[in-house]
Amino acid sequence: MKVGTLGRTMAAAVLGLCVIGASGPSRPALAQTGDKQLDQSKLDHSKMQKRDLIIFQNGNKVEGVVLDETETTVRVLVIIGSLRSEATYNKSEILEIKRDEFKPSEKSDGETRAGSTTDTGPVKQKKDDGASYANPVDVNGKPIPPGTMKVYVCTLGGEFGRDVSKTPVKEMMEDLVKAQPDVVVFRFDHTFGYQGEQTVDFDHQGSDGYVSQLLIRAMEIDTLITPVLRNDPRLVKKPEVVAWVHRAMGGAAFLPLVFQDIYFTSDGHQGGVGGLDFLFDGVGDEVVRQKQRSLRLAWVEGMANQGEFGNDASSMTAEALSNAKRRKYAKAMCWGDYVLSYRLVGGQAELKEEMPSSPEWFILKDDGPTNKDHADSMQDMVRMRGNDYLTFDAKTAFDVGYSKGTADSLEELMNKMGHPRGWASMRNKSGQIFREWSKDVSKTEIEVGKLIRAYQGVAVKPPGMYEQRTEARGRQIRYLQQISSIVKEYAEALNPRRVGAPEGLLDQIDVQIDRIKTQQTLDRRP
Amino acid sequence: MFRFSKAIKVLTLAFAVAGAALLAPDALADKIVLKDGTVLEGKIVREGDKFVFFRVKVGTVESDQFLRMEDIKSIERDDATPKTDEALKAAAEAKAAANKDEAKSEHGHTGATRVAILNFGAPSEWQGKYGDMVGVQVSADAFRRAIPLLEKDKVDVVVVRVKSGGGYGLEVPKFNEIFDKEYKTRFRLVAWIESGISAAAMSPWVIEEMYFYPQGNIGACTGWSGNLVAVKGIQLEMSLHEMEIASALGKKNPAIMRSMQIMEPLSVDVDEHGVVTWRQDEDGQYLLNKRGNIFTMKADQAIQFGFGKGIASTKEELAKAMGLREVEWAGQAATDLINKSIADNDAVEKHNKIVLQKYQLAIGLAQQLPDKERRGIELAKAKRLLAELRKMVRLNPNFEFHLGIPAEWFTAQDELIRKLAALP
Repeated sequence: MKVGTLGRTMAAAVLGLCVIGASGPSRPALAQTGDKQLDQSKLDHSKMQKRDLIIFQNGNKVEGVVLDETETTVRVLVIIGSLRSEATYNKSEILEIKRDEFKPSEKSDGETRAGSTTDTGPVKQKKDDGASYANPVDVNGKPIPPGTMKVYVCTLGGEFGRDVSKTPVKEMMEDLVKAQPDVVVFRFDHTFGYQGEQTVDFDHQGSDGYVSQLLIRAMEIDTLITPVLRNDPRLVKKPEVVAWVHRAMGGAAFLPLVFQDIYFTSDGHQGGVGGLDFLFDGVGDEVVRQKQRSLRLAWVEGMANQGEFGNDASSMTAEALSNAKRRKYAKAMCWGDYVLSYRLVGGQAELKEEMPSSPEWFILKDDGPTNKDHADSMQDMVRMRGNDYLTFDAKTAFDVGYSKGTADSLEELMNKMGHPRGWASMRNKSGQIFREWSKDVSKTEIEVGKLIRAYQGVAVKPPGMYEQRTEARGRQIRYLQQISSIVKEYAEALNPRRVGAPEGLLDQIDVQIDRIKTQQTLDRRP
Repeated sequence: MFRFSKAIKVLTLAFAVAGAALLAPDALADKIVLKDGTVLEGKIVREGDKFVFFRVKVGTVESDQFLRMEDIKSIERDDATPKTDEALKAAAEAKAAANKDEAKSEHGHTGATRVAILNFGAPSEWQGKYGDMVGVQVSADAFRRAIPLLEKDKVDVVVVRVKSGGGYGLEVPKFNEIFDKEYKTRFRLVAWIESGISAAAMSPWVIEEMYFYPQGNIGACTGWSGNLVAVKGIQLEMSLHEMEIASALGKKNPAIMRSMQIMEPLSVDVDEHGVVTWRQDEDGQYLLNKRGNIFTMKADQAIQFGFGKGIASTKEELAKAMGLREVEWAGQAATDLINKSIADNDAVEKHNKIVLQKYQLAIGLAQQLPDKERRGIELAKAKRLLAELRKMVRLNPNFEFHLGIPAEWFTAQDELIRKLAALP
């Protein structure tokens, strides 16, 4: 509920701009350069740590670094998590500036907690500058002897598209390259949800958001993973790479498709998509709806092809392609009237795109979504036994050859991969990277909400004359500029229901700032 | 009647370039007499059983008119050769072969094959930094400007790397023309498909040699606008016909593109010798598209049925798939030009949206202000923003459609500003 409220808040905030009336000419309110200005060329804002605390008359607080001051204004580098943004405040709004309130954090300067899925507890390690992997240690901090196979485990958890998005994945891949592992394990452990809404595991979320938006995110994220693992010359030895699926549901189901070797946990599931052939139902003309569905299905099937053959393009012969299975599984996850059955011949799955014709054939997916006689019953749905759309469990995935095995621990996984011993799970920074990103995104959402409320709360001070109106507009513009700067930084992950749609919001802010300036121009000194 | 005439006018504009693509500008000496007595002098640039594209010249400006045979009384030809698609194609192929030989002898180098890669849309490794709309970020004009740079660097092979979700149909014939007439006559031209959807599939359709990324796809070419409303009637028919021509130029079975445009079935027979026969029905050995669906071809289907020549996920794999033993990556200046064009157009597009919003804000405010002086300030601002929009549309006419600001809209805005300025 709160989520939606904030979305409406933003709209109201934008509309609320008219509160300050337009009457009378003006003068510029912002951008004054101070006589105590620091030499900016010597400052690297990205490396500055928060030092000062600014407390405003209305109780708001801002943390950062005071860059310079004039008699009337203070210019501040506002620091929120890893975000840095400059802002100028009128001293009349400020109650107190607490200088050197924050000491340099040990965490960011020196030691940090390690992060890997197999962390056994808080472990300290030097912040990575690339040198820490010269003498790699395992997750318990013990040195990994030379000749031991180094296993880099990263968990993609939380909400796909938010907690796992482009920026942290890019950082994680950089860390992975520095680590020079022999084996990389991508563990998929996502919540089943989209933009803060959680759903149940047996559901199929064929909405535009789940299918289109997260599919595009998955494709974008893949471009940060696959090319690095295959072609990055910095990787001295191409690592063995596997996906280890615990929970990849809804939009999160797409990314594992691009991995050639897939394993499941015994309670693992991948799917929950569905409804691609119902996208845009009731909108426009049928032929255009079909077009939109067709291209999206092609994207999904493309990812499946990439996973099945991508490591060796030369293996994509006409014969191999005619026997390709993964794109059929991918289609079965998405397309309602598609039917897929299998039987086992010599331990290998043989597929046919029709209902089982004899007892040795098993149904993977029927046409339930378009044929009510075949629709899943509630009893089957809640027990994850439905087949209206394909959602892989560990057993079925293994039976049909989609999964290479089932493992509930890293030891078991490595054993199944043919590495029973001689390996060590290396301490790496992936867990920390994703944790910090999630924290920053949450913090930013809260911060933007606060800024919106502060912006909404701007009122003309008594006696409400030209000077007070000018001052109020200046404050409005500063809040909007701050919102714009923050949203831009985290646009890829912010929940638009909480902060307003990032892209539209940015455009809107720019126009609204222009509008406030116009009002100021029209305002008149009495 | 008005609507039909208007539709024809739009079609004439939209497809004029396609007509122009098929003939070099010759002297204008054909004469057409219409049934209403109108006499037109010009040049037949293309014709079919039921239509003629007729190029007329007024002053220094040439334009192509679409005429229906049923409206024509008589035709006097300066050149007896009919301008049917078949005849035009044969002439174009002969000319291309001659030009290729000429170009080869001019280059005269015998070392490694010099290969340039030009991005048709931002490849996915750019991480969505720029938009990839045909006619907005992806511009035929940029590809035209790249040609001298490719020639200067003695490029042998041009790879058009396609990654775009589509765009404006108006740009398709421009690309068809450039690829067919300008590139194929100078270079070995290949397409490397990561994703070519809609206009991004139709634009490079004339390229005969196609390779795919493992995840590659091409198709979904249904024309539409607004809230998923399909292109219909004569506009649709024109588009289907244009792509039949493009299919011929690209040596592709027209049934493939047709099932990408409208909900026609597509299936394939493969005989014992591996010969593939495409069928516009559901009765072939392999059903690729059911009736009622729109076809998007995947890499696996492209390879399996001989549509694509090979699969490659890196440029090295591509060179290998193309059978090149020694490769020198060349044409960087042309690659940079195309990339810069994508980035610049993207910036203009984003800026345009804001300018339009600001204009609407200013004109809206001016309408509300009773005070002439204050209204004048807003009107001055509106005029400046309108001029900026005009300038941008002149630079890239596709913005008219993209932003929904056609010429009539500008005229209406001028009138509105005038009226508001005249108020007391």
